[in-house]
Amino acid sequence: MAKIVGYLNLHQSPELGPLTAKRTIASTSFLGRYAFMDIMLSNFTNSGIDRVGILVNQHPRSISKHLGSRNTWNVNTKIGFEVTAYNENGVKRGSGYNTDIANLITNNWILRQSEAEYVVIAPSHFVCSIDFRPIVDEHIKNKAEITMVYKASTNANSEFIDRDVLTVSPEGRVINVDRNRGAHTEANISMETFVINRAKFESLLIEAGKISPFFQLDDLLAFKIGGGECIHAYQYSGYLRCFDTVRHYFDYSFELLDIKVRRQLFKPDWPIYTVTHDTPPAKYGAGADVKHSFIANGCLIEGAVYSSILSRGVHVQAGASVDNSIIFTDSVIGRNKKVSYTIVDKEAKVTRVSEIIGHETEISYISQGDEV
Amino acid sequence: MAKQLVAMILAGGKGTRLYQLTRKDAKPAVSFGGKYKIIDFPLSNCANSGINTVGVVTQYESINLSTYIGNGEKWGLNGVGSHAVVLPPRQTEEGYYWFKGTADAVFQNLQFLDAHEPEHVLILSGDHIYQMDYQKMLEKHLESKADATIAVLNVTLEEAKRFGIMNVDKKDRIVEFEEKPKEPKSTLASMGIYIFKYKMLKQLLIKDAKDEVSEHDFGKNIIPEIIAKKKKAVVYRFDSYWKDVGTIKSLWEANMDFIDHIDDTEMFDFKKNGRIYGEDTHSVPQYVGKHAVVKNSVINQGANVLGYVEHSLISNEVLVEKYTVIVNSVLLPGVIVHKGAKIYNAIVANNVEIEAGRIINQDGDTIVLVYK
Repeated sequence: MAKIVGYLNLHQSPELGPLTAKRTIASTSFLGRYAFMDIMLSNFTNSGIDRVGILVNQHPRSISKHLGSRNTWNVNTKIGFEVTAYNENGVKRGSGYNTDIANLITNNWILRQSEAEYVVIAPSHFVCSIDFRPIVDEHIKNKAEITMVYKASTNANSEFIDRDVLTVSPEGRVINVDRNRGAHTEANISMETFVINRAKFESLLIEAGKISPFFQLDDLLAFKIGGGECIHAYQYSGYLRCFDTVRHYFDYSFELLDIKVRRQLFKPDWPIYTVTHDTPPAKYGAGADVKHSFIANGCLIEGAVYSSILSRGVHVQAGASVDNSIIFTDSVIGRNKKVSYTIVDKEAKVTRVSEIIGHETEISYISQGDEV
Repeated sequence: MAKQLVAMILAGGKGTRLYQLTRKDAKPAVSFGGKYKIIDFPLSNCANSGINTVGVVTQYESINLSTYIGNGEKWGLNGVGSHAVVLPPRQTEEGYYWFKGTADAVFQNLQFLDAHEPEHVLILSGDHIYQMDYQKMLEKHLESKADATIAVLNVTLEEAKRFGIMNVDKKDRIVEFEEKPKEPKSTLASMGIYIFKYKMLKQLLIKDAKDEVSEHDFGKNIIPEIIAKKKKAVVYRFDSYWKDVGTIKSLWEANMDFIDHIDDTEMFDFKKNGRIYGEDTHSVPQYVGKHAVVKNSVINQGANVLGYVEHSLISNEVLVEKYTVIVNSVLLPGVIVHKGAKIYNAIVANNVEIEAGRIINQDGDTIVLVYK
């Protein structure tokens, strides 16, 4: 395996309404057990990439908290590392200046201290089970300097809106980049995932500074393509979802309750790592009635839970009923209370009102720590 | 640096009465409670009691156990000055010997203890399920200015016949020790948990090692010797949950106790006594199916439950297919129960596959072990 530094790029992370008010999507709860960043970090680890920089653009507290000792993904050892890269100066100068490129330049020591020949850059909002080894192999075989990874979507009119669309030539070159405005059902969606030769990468960073301080990496690559730069396109064909809105967060999470979908993302030889909380297993009481749900450890269920996702340490008290909802860590659904089509953020309590009823098309939201 | 208290966990037992469960694993490495191994309990107790140096004495089938202990990280015993060290029998200048008994197992590892210069040594067993703050026991030991302190449980007069019984004076000083007395004079049963002044223990162990008729056992030789020599031995009364899991029946009972009381702070208090640490498997969230029924049960992450589960314990990576019935049973990690199978009052060993339609122990009064 070639020597690689992997960058988890959080600069392009979409906002998920109230869910990302105090955190980024990277540290937002996923399926009651993970944070979104676990998925791509596990992809790195499983692909043998054990030197990882996490490009943080905001909410560093939330990211640090989830990363913990940073050895969850098996990379923080004497021979590997996992570090966060934060561009404090960029943050101070305002969001326009707080670009992924500025962050990479500020924290260029990550690459400088390594002997990597290639960099792999990927975001956390695209959820997929991706092996970078064949991508790097193809990149090398094609003598490419830059490879962009895309997925040929057949739902581009309703999904991946505002993400980049690639025009790929018959020779497998990226010849144009555009925004997906949802005009077509079929489109090659950029996964914002790149393999770049080290020397090329370093020269791109220098060049970017000369063109515009507001350039993000994807802007720069689009600019280079416009200038005739030869960029190889790699087609990924597995499970791919872009968690870019609360609606999609809700729908894509529940979609994974279906074993057929679940098997596309979770594969036996491709474990997804996450931080341990050493919570005991979940307890189902005498009055528990649970159907079609994900339940995390540490839960105590004494009521009904249908088509829902419960994070660690949730308590559903006797007579309570939860359906079509996502309940975050350590929340309590009180006796005889009803929660439907709702996201209950962490450490919240539903104990006063008799019910929180959202609708399939209008999901309710209870803020972190609120008691309602 | 001299340490006040160092712990030695005796984890070398074969556990013959657990039959096939210990075919390739030492008893302390047997799964418990859906996500733990038995040894997680004494190790977590050490961690939660602020004991940061623990020797784990192994002998029988120690590969899996040694791998599991690793550097002690799973229990937080990998910090500066912390040690969790596996101590198997070894070759020395004098030759090579198996451990001849519990006392000999510590005698042969005096070098480990000497290196840490402990004032006191805590001797633990690797096959008990309980949560205990050893600091409280140490306080009693220090207050009493005792040479030895033995943790005891108040059992019924009938149960007392199966235990080593301590007869004490008004000040809790041990005046007599009786192994499995036919007519017990007291109901204070030894839990196999001892604190000794290290200097004294070392002398006794060296002397005991030279004694050709000794069985080199703490209960049979060392404790009686301490009492005979009029050394000061006192009891420390423990009044919470404690269970020796040496047989299939007692292992099953302890698992059933865990189901019934995991949320009962009188018996297992993960907030007050600290969490039970261990391995967090890289499992997907547990899923409960559309037609599943789960009552009075405990389920770990990675389980997939599609059938009827009542008063049972389902470990990680277990698959319970549709139209199955699991009652009063313990399914260890990786078990697959195919359609139509019914299991009653059983422990199903790791990775066993139960064929479709098979019925196990439907009318059984005794607990059965199902193995490959």
